[in-house]
Amino acid sequence: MFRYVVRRLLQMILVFFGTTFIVYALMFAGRSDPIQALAGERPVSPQVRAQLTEQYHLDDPFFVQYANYMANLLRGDLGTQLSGRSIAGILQQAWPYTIRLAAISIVIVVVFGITAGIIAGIRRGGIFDNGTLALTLLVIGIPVFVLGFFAQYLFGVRWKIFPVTGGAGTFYALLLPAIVLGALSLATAIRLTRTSIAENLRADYVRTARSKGLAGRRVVGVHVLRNSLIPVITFLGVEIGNLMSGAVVTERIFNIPGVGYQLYQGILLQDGPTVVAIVSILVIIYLICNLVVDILYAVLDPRIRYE
Amino acid sequence: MSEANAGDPVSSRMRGPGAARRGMSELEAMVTAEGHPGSGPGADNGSFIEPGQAAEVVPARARSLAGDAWRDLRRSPIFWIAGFLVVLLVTMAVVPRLFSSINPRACDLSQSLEPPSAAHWFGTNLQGCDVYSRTIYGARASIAVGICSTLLAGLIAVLIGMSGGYFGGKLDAVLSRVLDIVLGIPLLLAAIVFGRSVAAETDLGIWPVVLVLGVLGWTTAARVIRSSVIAAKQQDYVQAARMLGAGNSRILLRHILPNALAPMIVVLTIALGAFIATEATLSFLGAGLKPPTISWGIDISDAQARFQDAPWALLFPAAFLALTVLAFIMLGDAVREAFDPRLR
Repeated sequence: MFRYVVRRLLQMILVFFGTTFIVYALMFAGRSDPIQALAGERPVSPQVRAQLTEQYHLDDPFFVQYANYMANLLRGDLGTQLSGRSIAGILQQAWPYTIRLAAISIVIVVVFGITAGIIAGIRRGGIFDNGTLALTLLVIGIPVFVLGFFAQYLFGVRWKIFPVTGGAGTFYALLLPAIVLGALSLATAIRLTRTSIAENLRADYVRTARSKGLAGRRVVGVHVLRNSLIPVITFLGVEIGNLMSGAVVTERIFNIPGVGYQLYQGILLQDGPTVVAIVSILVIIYLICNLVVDILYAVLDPRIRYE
Repeated sequence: MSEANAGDPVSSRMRGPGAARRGMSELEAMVTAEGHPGSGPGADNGSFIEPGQAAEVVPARARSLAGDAWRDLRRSPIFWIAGFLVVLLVTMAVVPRLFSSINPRACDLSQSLEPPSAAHWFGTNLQGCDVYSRTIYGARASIAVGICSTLLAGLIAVLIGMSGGYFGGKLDAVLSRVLDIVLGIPLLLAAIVFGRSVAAETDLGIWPVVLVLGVLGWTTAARVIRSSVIAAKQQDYVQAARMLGAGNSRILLRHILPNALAPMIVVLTIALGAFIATEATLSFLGAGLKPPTISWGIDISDAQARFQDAPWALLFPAAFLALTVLAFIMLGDAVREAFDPRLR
């Protein structure tokens, strides 16, 4: 187990540097002249150019620039946007929105996903089962941004049940965006729970429990659920990382000033420092979630042993 | 049912009472669930046929997994609906003129935001372009991106998954780590950054998007083909081919690949739908395809601001996009269910 964790950590470091390097290279190498981009349309005098080159180490080789940048990033210094604002300050304001959004989403996915999955799995082939199967297929098929639009238009504009944008940041304002953000995970969670339950219901230990005369409720609630929820829990762990990056689309549609929105703005304005900083943080979150899930897997299921 | 069976030696030989046929396929379900891809109960005989022919003989076998799956598929209405939609959409992508005589780029500003009418079935957008014709022509970009990136992902998956699974050892360990690393990169984020910085410079059409989707999207397929190659390489017909003196490349290409391909194709069909959805999302965010190309994602993004005055400019491309993604996912789902008898 210890060796496994160490191996995974080393692998994580490799992925982290690989990803940030690619992002850094694309964001900074793709641009023609950063000083001109900073100045916009105005001409830049040679003195200013020289000073800025000095200030931002633009003369250094590319790898040195990347190393400098990563060293600062790991020290917690996220740098400044092209407009001069501190990225750390912006993220400090943006995080609460994204975290709240992702948290509401996860709760919805857990509560409704698992409940619906259990019912569908137990009554396989019934109306509820077929209904949820068709519905989840539809949700998986419709891209999130299309779904977001329809939800915003129908519930926000037409029927006025929810606020049109989530900018207020309250639970009520974030509820609709959170449902949209979690829709795909919800559909996958339902299908996963259903398959897992249906498979376990045929297992020998279920037959044994039944023949011992245990009540059906106890067989499903204690014996089947404990085994069936293992893959679902690991899936949910990975989804936390995905929800954070999926917020780019949802936050854009519902105008929520969260991290995803800032990332979108950064990409739109070709603001290299912002994009690299946010992507790096999101990748770290994603990797940590993956690691925790893999370790959790071994804890939850004693049959799995890492050498 | 009967016209679908006509001319098929496999099913005509097996035609009989429905109950008997059902019983047989359940017996096979147990056999195939043990994990021998591409080999039914009779595969042992096949292994002593000349090595060059073995690959052709196995799929045509009366009780092979592929034949069994095909029999199931023909009975599935979802397969026919999805298949019909896919054929229709691909035709739309190849010859859009068949469906619309209006030039999608011939826009008339004086006809901006007109509601659907006899002249413009789906109405017009802000620039006065015909939404119906743009929707039809938009199929090309989406399906081209989907197919090209799936082919690229499939090629990478076959190369990496097959060599890892067949040769094993250190090579497999290295390739598996590479796979883990690629799996660790969030697709959407990487694609946004890549699309934004590469495609912003020059107009390369669909290729930047194809490249990023293919290079990041091969992992699941590689895992699937790796495990089916590991299962297939222990089969008797592979041993027989090796005894007859066949080299690694011949065994891999003629014997293992045809037998290990089916599960991967299923995964790739579902991935194709997902790639189309990702492309539209990227185009919608301004990091995918660029305007001279007609794309549903771009049109949806453009129509967003005027949605309340002119919902048709958004609804129709969105509906076609959803339908396309659904068609491919449903097709893959139907084929997967036919190949995976445990879920019956």
